[in-house]
Amino acid sequence: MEIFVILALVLAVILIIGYPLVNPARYRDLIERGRTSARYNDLCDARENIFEALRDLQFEYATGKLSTADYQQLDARYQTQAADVLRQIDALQAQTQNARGRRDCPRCHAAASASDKFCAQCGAKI
Amino acid sequence: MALSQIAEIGNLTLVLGLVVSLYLIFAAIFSQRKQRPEFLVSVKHGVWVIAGLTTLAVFILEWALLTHQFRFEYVASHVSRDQPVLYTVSALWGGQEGSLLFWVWLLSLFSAAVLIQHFGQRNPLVPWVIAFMAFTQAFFFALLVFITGPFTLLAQTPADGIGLNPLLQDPGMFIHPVTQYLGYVGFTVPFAFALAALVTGDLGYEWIRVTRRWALFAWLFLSLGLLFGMRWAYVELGWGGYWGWDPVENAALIPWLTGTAYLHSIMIQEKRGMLKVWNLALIMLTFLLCILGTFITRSGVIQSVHAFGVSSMGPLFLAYIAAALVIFTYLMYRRLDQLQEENRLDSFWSREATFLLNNLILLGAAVATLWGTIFPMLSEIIAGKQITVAAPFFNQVNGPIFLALIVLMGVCTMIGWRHASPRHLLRNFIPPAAVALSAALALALLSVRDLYGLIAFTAAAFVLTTVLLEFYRGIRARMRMYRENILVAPAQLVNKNRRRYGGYITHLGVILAVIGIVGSTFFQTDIQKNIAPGETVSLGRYTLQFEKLKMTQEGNAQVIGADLSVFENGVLVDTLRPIKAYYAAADQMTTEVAVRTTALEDLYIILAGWNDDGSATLKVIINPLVVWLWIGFGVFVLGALIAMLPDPREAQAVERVRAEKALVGASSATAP
Repeated sequence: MEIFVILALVLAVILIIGYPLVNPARYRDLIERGRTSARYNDLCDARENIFEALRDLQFEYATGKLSTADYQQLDARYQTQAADVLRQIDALQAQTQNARGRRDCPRCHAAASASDKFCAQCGAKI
Repeated sequence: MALSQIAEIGNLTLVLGLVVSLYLIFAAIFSQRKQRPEFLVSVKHGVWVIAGLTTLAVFILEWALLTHQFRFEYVASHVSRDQPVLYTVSALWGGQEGSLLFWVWLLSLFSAAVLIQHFGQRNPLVPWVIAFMAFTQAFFFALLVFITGPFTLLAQTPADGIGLNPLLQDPGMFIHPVTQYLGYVGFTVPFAFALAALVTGDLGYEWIRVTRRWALFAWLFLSLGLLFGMRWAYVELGWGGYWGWDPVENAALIPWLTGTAYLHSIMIQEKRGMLKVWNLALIMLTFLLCILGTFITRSGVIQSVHAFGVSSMGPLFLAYIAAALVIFTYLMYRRLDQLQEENRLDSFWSREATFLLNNLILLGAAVATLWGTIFPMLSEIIAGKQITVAAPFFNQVNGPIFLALIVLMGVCTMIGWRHASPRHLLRNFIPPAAVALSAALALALLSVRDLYGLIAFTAAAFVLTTVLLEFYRGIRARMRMYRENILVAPAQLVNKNRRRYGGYITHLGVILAVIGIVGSTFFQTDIQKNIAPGETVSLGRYTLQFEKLKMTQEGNAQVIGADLSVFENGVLVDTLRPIKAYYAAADQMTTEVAVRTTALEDLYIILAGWNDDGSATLKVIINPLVVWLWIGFGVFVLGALIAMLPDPREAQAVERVRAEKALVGASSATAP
């Protein structure tokens, strides 16, 4: 009786862990996808951090912790950083969209990201 | 099934756990190095298998405890037949073997939680995180398999067990170890992510962002562990206080200090890209101190270094700590050129600088406490004689450190990032300083004569004002910027920036706790007197009339109590009954104090002894303001919970990122 329970337990563990190794082909794209999204991840994080910093800056200014000159200088710097990151994100998106079959604005043919509902250049509906 | 077979299965779960953990380390690393995703999926299954195995082991041990299977050595030494069910359940974490099993069980559940959180997002850090968590699991499984197993059987079945140490039979001790361990084990997750970041070279803010909530979770539970431990000491140990700088207390406090430093300094990395090496070092320190805390609490090594050799647990713990330290430091050294600061400190008068100072002070307190804790051990090794460092050392060293910390807490919130202009600083500084000075003056007029107490109260008043002012200004700014009314603005203020205002609420809690600590430390009064029935003892406004001694049998204990009538300014306000309980099974006496709590002070009475003639020796203590310590903790926890809640903005951002990422992922998958 005891030996059966032990055997069953050991067997179950081996089966559960070993099962994915039987058919490796199914998981081939897993690592590839992870790598592509890593850089994207970083950029999106950077974007959120800068937005957060901007919001914080506004609030700190409103609660009187910053002088106007400091506020303006910092605000300008964060705006530049944000613009830079947004550009990079757009570029990366355009790149991956190209690989998949690009999405252009039907009117002015500017590159558009997949989540865009309207063209950023001319405002036409996509 | 026979008992020996059940024990066999219990042991098997641990052995299998060890084997699978070792496999996970290999498979996780192999999947990354050789780009073999099928092994990653196998790792995922393995994590679930380990969670299942540990759960089975815990289930078997709990079953044995609850059904009084005294042939299990662990059951016989931690449960007795007359023990209440609650403490039979908690016997799982009441002893060494059980608590190590509890540790590894929590760790296996946390590993599974990390997978649920991140596997779907294909976070490249996760395989390395799992590899390290499996390494830690393997270590604890090895302890359970080779050194100190919970499923060891006795040759014969005793009629009854020894029972849980009566001191631990208290609701506080039911919950304290659980919260403490949740904290200790919880810090494994951020540390594992830090390690993974070092391995993969992905050293941006990512590893901190994804583990910020884990770190807060672990830290919150460390705080709760401290709270329940202090509360237990206060009502159960019966010496009038709640903190004695005992090694076990210190072992819980030290990682809390470094963890607090970490939670503050990661904000600087997030906002300014600075302190990257420092943050890595802090999370390493915090995690290793958690392991050290487990070791100190569980091995008895502080009482005597000889305990170190009795079981081979000591060297193994040290080996584990050394291994983690070496691996992490090596990886950090290899990545040093990638850990350059993105910004410099602009000015000493900036929030960054005050955060840095706060970090140094917290670390100073941690080092001082650690030194005092391990000094007896070192002195025994070096001089052959144990020199104990008592409470006065800790109070003298840590008192000023904590005072500086409190003042800094106020200064910090007033200063903006990067650079504070002197004019603004002054404007922000004047109101709290004025309030603090008036508070000092008022207290002096109320004839508060203790200098340290006076200084500490003044500091507390200063910080309290800065925090309240912060809320006032925030609310005003919202009313102006968003045209919200006075009822909506405060709620929205907290709601829209939960991290910041959750943090401030936590500070508020700390200040309330400080008021409680200062009051009960510097202004405690006491009296001890032997009185016969009918006689009275007086302290402050209180007069206690001793009615009689009463002996009863309660549960598994023989109880003797002194019935007292409490008069406040001559009016009968309460009846109290401090007791001593004798547990025959363990041949141990415990004290249960009687406490009358008001907002101003605790009347705390200990039955110190009794005589055959019916007289009793009472120790009466007045602990001013001590209730604010517990209330402060409550506020503190509330603040930490608010800071932990998902930020609506952050949730939106994550949602957006996820949607976009799915797109990028899908397109790359179909790319040639």
